[in-house]
Amino acid sequence: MMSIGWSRESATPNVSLPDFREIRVDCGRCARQTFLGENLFVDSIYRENILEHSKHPQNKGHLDPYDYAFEDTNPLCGDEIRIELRVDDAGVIIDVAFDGQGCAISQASASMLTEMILGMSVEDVKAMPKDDLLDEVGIELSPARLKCALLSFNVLKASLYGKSVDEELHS
Amino acid sequence: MFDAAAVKRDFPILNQPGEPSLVFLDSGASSQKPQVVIDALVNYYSTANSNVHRGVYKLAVAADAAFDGTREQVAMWLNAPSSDEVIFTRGTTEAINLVASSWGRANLQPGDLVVSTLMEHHSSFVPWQMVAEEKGARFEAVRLTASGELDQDHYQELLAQHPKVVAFTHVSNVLGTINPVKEMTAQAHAVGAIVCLDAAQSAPHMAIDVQDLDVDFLALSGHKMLAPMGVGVLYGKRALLEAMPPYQSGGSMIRKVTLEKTTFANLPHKFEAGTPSVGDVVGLGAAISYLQGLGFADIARHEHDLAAAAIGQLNALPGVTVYGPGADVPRAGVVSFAVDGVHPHDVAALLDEKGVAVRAGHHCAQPLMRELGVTATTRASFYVYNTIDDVDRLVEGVRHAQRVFA
Repeated sequence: MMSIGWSRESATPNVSLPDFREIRVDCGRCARQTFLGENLFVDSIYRENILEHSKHPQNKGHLDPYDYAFEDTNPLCGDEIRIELRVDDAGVIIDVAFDGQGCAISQASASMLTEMILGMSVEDVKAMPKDDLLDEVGIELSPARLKCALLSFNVLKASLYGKSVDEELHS
Repeated sequence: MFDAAAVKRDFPILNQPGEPSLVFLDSGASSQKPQVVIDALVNYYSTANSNVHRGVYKLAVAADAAFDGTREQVAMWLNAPSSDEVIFTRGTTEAINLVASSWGRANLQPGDLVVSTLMEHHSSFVPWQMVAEEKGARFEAVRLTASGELDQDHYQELLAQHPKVVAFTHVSNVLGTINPVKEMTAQAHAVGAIVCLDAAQSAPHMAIDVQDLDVDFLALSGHKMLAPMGVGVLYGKRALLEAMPPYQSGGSMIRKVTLEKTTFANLPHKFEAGTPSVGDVVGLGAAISYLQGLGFADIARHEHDLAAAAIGQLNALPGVTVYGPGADVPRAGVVSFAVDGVHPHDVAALLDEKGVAVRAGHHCAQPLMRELGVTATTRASFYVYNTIDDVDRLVEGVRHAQRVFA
């Protein structure tokens, strides 16, 4: 079978073959980028804080009674997260619990998120950008794992707004 | 002796620089491509590209010859009686949708029974479930045994209810189970049912003889067997195909079009509306030649050896559960497993850190996941370019995952 080489004297010299090992992947709308090239295997995403939270999740369980609750599933992997909130008269979150099953990233981020929002007002949580959670998670994630990390965030926002904010998050 | 290390050298993507080297164990999702297939694509687009069945100029004649020649090659490979019974599709999914939509809509009546199984990939499950619902037919699935094989007693119970069609997979994409297609087909025919076989996980790995199996339809994907993405095959028995209405309509599939009436082309063109992916078809031809050069019997034996080694070593690790049949029976090189205390996505991500690419998830088989009582599994699937060293790297990676989560 004949093989045709790439002509260096192309009429369109600006067209070059993509080098997939040099491609960077944007993590959503934040400034983070995941590098798919040489350093792919250098940094583990399973840093101590992730492992600690996934092995010993904070605020895991249920509230009775609760003021807000929502649960959702990541259709890609079947991860499930449920979040329940109790709020005082001033609109401050005085208790929070999450439950569910999933990978270390989704469980650790849920655990971190519950720690972050305890004591915050509902209005502040509604306005909280996802980068606040991603900064706390603190690791570079591929687009697929980003969905794991943001599942709890998505569920939390949905519980406060009473509907899925998936479109807003992924538009 | 099957020389997998030599085979591996034929695949540029597996020989890229960098440490650790890539161990690709996700061929069940899509295989890598050897240089000859890449060359076939480049060669086609560099020397023969033009639309088929239309032109009178030299290039068009070359494209026609390449396209129709590959159809003949596929027919001989599958031992189909005629190349008219070989229809090129985008893949297995489109092939099964063609049958479910065209044959199903024309033949299913309210109250009819459609039989599937709980080990199906969604592409062999959902199209039949949808057409059954549309036509008011019943939809039942054969249960599994504890060892991950089809429950033949349950199959007999369902056959006793005289299904119109039995749609099932040759090889489970999760468990590696090889189903007794020839026996099940004969039993289905005995009660008047037709058989639509999903060969996506078998055709790349073992010799297929459609006349020996006697299935009525068989669907396969090129991209799982070294060919480019974008081409698949539907084999169907001539009498059934001729009686079926077209699936999609438009160019290439007509005989005569007038304001009053359109008549349709003969097989196989009746089911190939629009411009086919000729370059990908040519690539499929190169892939079949490459695999035939290796020999399907040797390929099947090699993959069974790798699966046996993987099952043995994984079972020896405390806290690891392997699903599906053991290596003491014929099985495909698909090995799904669970690691206690580590989610499948984390197993796969930690294996990736060691350069080992595996699948984690529901594998488009949610009814099977439910049957297994899990939401996901980790799956290693082997192919011609995998070596016994790759199995060692897999097992070492699983031990790494266990250490991280210890």
